[in-house]
Amino acid sequence: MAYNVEEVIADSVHNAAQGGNDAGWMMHHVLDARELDFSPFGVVHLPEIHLFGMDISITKHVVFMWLAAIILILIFSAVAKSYKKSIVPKGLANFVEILVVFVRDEIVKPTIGSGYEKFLPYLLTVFFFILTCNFLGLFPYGSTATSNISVTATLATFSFFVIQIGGIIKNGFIGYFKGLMPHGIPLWLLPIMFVVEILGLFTKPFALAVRLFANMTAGHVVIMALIGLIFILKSYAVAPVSIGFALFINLLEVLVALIQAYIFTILSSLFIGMAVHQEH
Amino acid sequence: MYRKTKNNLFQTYRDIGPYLGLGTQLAATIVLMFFLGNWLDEKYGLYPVLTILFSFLGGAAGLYNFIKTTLELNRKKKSEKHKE
Amino acid sequence: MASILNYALLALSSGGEGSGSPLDINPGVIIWTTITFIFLFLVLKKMAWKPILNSLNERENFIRDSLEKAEKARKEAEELYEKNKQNLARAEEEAQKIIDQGREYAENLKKQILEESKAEAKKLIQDASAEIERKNQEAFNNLKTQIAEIAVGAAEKIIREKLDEEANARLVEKYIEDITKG
Repeated sequence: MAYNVEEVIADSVHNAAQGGNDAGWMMHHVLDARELDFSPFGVVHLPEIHLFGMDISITKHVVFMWLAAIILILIFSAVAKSYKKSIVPKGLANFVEILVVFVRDEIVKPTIGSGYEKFLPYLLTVFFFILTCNFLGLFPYGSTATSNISVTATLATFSFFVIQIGGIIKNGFIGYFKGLMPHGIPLWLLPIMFVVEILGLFTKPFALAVRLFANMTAGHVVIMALIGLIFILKSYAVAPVSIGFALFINLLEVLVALIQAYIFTILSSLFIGMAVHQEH
Repeated sequence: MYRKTKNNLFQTYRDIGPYLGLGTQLAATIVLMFFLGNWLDEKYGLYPVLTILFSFLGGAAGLYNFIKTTLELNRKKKSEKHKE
Repeated sequence: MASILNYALLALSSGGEGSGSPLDINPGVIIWTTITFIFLFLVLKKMAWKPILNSLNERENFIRDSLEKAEKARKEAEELYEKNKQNLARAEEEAQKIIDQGREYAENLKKQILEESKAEAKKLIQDASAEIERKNQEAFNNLKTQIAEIAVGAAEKIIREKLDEEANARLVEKYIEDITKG
C-alpha cells in the first residue's frame, strides 16, 4: 500500500515537472494567502496592515489561527462552566477531559516528573492549539496554519523559551549551563561539548518547527498530487482511484494531525524535563 | 490509575512517537549547520571550507543529542514501567 | 513517512516560482502567531486550565479518599466478620460440650436408675419368694397341726367308739406318715 502511494506521488510530481507547468496549483492550497478563497462562492480579501515599516497583514493562516483560538476558548469555557455545575463530566466535557488527562498523565507527568504542574498549562495550550489548527485544515475551505513555517517556528520558539527559563529557574543560571555538560569528560573536550550542547539547545526547537511544518504540508501536497493525477493524465478513469487514495490519505491526515500535536507536545515536555531535572 | 486498554495502533504510536521525532532532529541539526556554514562561507568567501566543517560538526552534534535524548527516553520509559 | 516527506520537499522546491515558497518566513505571521498564542495561553490558563485541573485533582482526591475509606470499611467489616465467626465457633463448641456433658450425665443416670431398679426388682422378687416360702411353711405347719388335730379328734372318736386302741393308733400313725411322705 505504502509503496503504491509513493509511486503515485512520484509520478504526479514528475509529470507536473515535465509538463512545464509549475506546481503552483498544488501549492496554492498549502501556501498562505492574502484572501480567503471560497470559490465558487467568492473570495474574501483580507486587510493589509503596515506598521513601523513592517508588513503585518492578516493572512489566511492568521485567520484560521484565530478561528482555532476562538474554537478552543468556546469549548474550554463551556467545559469549565460544566465543571462548576457538577464534578462529574458529561458529553463534551467528558471527551475533553479524556484528552486533558491524556496530556497530563501520558505526556507531561512521565517526561517531566516532579514539578510538572507549572508547565502543564503551557503544554496543554500548545497541544490543543496545534491539534485544532491541524484539524481545521481537513475541512473543506479550511487551511492549516501549522503548515506555515512562520507559525511552527514561533511555537517552537515559545517551547525554546519555556525550556530554557524552566531550566534556569530550577537550577540557577550558572547551575543550568554547568548541568548541560556531561560529567567526567576530559578538560580539552569541554569547549567542544559546550558548543555541541548549546547547538543542541537550538536544534531541538528547530527540529520541532520543521517536523510539524513538513508533516502538515506533506499530507496536503499528497492529497493535491493525487487529485491532480486526474488532470495530468487527462483521463477520468483515474478519478475513482485517485479519489480513493486521496480519501485514504485524508484519513491518514486525521491520524497525522493527532500524532504531530502529540509529538510536538511530548518532545517539548521531554526537553523541559531534561532541562529541569539535569543528570547528576 | 488511568491505564485503560487502548487501541493497539494508538498504543504503538504513543510508544514510538518520540523516537519518530528524533530522526527529524538529527536531520535538522545537520541541515541547520550546513546552512550556517554556507552562509558564513558566502560572507567570508571561504567556500567550501566552513560548509564542510559545519556540516560535520552538525552531524556530530546531532548524533550526540540523538543518543542523549534516546537514553533519556529509555530511562523515562523504564521508570514508568517500574511504577506500574 | 520519510519518503513522503522527500516528495513533499521536491514539490515544495518546484513550486517555488511566482507563488512564493512555503519556506518563506513571513514576519507578519510570526507577530500574529505570537500575539494569538500568548492571548490564547493567558485566556485558557485563567478560564480553563485552572478550573479544569483543579476539579480534576479534586475529583481524583475524592475518588482516592472514597476508595481508601471503602477499603478501610471493608477491612473492618472483614475483621468483625472474622471475630463473629470465631465467637460463633467458640459458642458452638461450648454448646456441644454442654450437650455432650448432659448426654453423658443422662447416660450415667439412666444406667444408675436401671441398675437400681433392677436391684430393687430382684430384691422384691427375693422378698416375695421368701414370703411365699414362709407362707407355704406356715400353711404346711398349720395343715400339719390341723391334720394332727383332726387325726387326734378322729382318734378320740374312734377310741371312744371302739376301744381297740392299739390297732387304731398304729393305723393312724401309718396314715400320718403316708401324708407327710406324700
